[in-house]
Amino acid sequence: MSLLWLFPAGFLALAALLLPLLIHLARRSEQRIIDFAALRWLSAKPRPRRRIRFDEWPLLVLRLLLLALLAVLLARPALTGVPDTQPRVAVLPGVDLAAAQRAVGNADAQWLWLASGFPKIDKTAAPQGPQPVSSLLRELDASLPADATLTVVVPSIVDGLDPQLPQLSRVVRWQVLEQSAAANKPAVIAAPELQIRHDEVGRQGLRYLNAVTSAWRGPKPETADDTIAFGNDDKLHVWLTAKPLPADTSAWLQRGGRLLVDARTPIPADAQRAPLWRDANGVLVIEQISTPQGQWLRWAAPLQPASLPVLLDADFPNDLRAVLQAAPTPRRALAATMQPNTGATPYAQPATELGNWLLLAIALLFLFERWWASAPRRRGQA
Amino acid sequence: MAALTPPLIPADVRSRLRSLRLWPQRASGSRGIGAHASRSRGAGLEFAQYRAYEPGDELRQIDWKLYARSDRFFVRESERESPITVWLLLDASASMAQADQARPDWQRLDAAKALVACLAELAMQQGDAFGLIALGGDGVQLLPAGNRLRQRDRLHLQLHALKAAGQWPPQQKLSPLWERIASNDLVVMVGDGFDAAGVELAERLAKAGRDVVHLQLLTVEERDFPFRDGHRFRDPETGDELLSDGATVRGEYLARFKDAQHVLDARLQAAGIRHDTAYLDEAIDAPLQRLFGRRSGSGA
Repeated sequence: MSLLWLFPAGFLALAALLLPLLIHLARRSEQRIIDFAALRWLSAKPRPRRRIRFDEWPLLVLRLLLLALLAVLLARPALTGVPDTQPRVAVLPGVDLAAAQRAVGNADAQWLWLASGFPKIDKTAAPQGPQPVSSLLRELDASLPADATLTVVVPSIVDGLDPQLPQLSRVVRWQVLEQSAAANKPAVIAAPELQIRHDEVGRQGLRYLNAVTSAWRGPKPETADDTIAFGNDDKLHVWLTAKPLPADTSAWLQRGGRLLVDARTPIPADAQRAPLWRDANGVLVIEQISTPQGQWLRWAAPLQPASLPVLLDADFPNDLRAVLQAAPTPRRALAATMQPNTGATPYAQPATELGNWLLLAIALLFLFERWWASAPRRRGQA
Repeated sequence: MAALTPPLIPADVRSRLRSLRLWPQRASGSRGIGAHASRSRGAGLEFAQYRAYEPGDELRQIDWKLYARSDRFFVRESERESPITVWLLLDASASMAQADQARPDWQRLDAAKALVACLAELAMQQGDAFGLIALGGDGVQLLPAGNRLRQRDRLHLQLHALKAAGQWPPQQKLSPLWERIASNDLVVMVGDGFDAAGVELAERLAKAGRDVVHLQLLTVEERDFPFRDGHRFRDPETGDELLSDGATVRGEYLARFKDAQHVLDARLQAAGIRHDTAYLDEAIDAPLQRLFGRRSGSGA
């Protein structure tokens, strides 16, 4: 354990120690006239020395101490290497708590939810929603002191893993609890929904897109004439006309909207084009347009089998979906196979700031100082 | 306004006063001190009032001529003649306005007033006449001797109006004292005892046969000299100022002051004056208890 100062410039506040010194500096009390009838027995002896003297030095010391503590508080003292060997038990939300406590049986451990912020189990309910388990494990490992042992309680099938085994700095006790299969349904990723605006020529491409959505088993595309504006939703907008893009497209793209435009739509002059999908014969099918206003996809040719033979291909719906919707990385695994590795470098722990204790001491000292300064027994010193 | 004025005598002091008596120092044969009790019956030369007869009154006190006229019994009462008169000499010079720093609202004059009121209360309790003579910058303020409650009220009124100012009055202004204070009267002087003329007056009164009691009132600062720093001290009567450092002159002052007190005690003792020194942090009646309390055994 060692002490360090996070903001040493705060010691400049020690200059404020001059204030109480000035306040307590004894005034020149020779100026105070005192009636004294027994003057004839008094001899005249002016003070020979002009030493600096202070009134009420206990109060002065108290005030100096108060200001010094304030300066120390400003300098933010902190302790590094505070020993902390309390075991931690992290439980993935969704695990039966009673079963976990039976399995682990560590009474004096600190129980945490393996969720964002690591809330304490006895204070908060289980957080909802999927958790990025590998990322959370790494974060928890990095934020725990090196001496603390970690137990992680997970169900038999864990969702939210990374493609690799988590590599941590400590040996983790990996406690797997059998979970009913009903709770372990894989998530189904819905097919993209289309919203199509077209002109007369573009209408001829609709039948291919309708066929594609049928193959995806998704809802039918919502089609309309290009005079009707796009709806404000998160569907994939398809622009099958020769007209330029609507004026509000840029704002919609900024919000994260996806757009697929026809080959006849004019391309801005400053656009960069990158081929994205070529068919088996090397014919460009879809390319990506990048402009300062945003990015979108573009059919490289009109939606006709003559220009785009891939339209008639049996794999076209799947290939198109792979372009439009990247396949999710595998996230589910059997927990028993995902025991984290060790070997990562331990992280340096942040220093423990002592501000709260200092604040408490300052508050107590301040109350004491007020009490002392306003006590009725305070006597005016002669 | 009178209701707001604090009483001169605190309640606890008043209760302690009951056990005190103002004893003259010497028995005076000519005025019949031994007759104190019989005189308090109300028989005397000066007619005061008629009052209705009550069982227990002596038959010879009934006014039979009045009974003949009115068919009722009346008793003649007369002004009780007091055997002695108590004269309260109060020093009201400017030095009496001095107060301690620790208690600035309690002047020496306030304590002196309370002491005088206590003495008047004692005199009234035992039926003696009492009068007040205040000596200050305004000369001599005199309240002629009298007794009973109205006299006490007059005394309190005068005391409340009294302010400390000026110096001890010169010799020629003191003639009313000699006119009023008869021989063998009890004279109680209340003051700080710093004025040489005041001590001289006490000695002369004692020599002239008056029974003099001298009560000296000192402040706590005069006794303890608690000053540690340099201060400018001022004599309230002469206006002299003196710059001095409390810590260095303290020992010397205390020694010289003690010597002066010894000299004063010796002078008063030699003159046969009962005397006592009271301090502002004492109870008001403390000097009275020491001088007139039963334990002191100073009874006639």
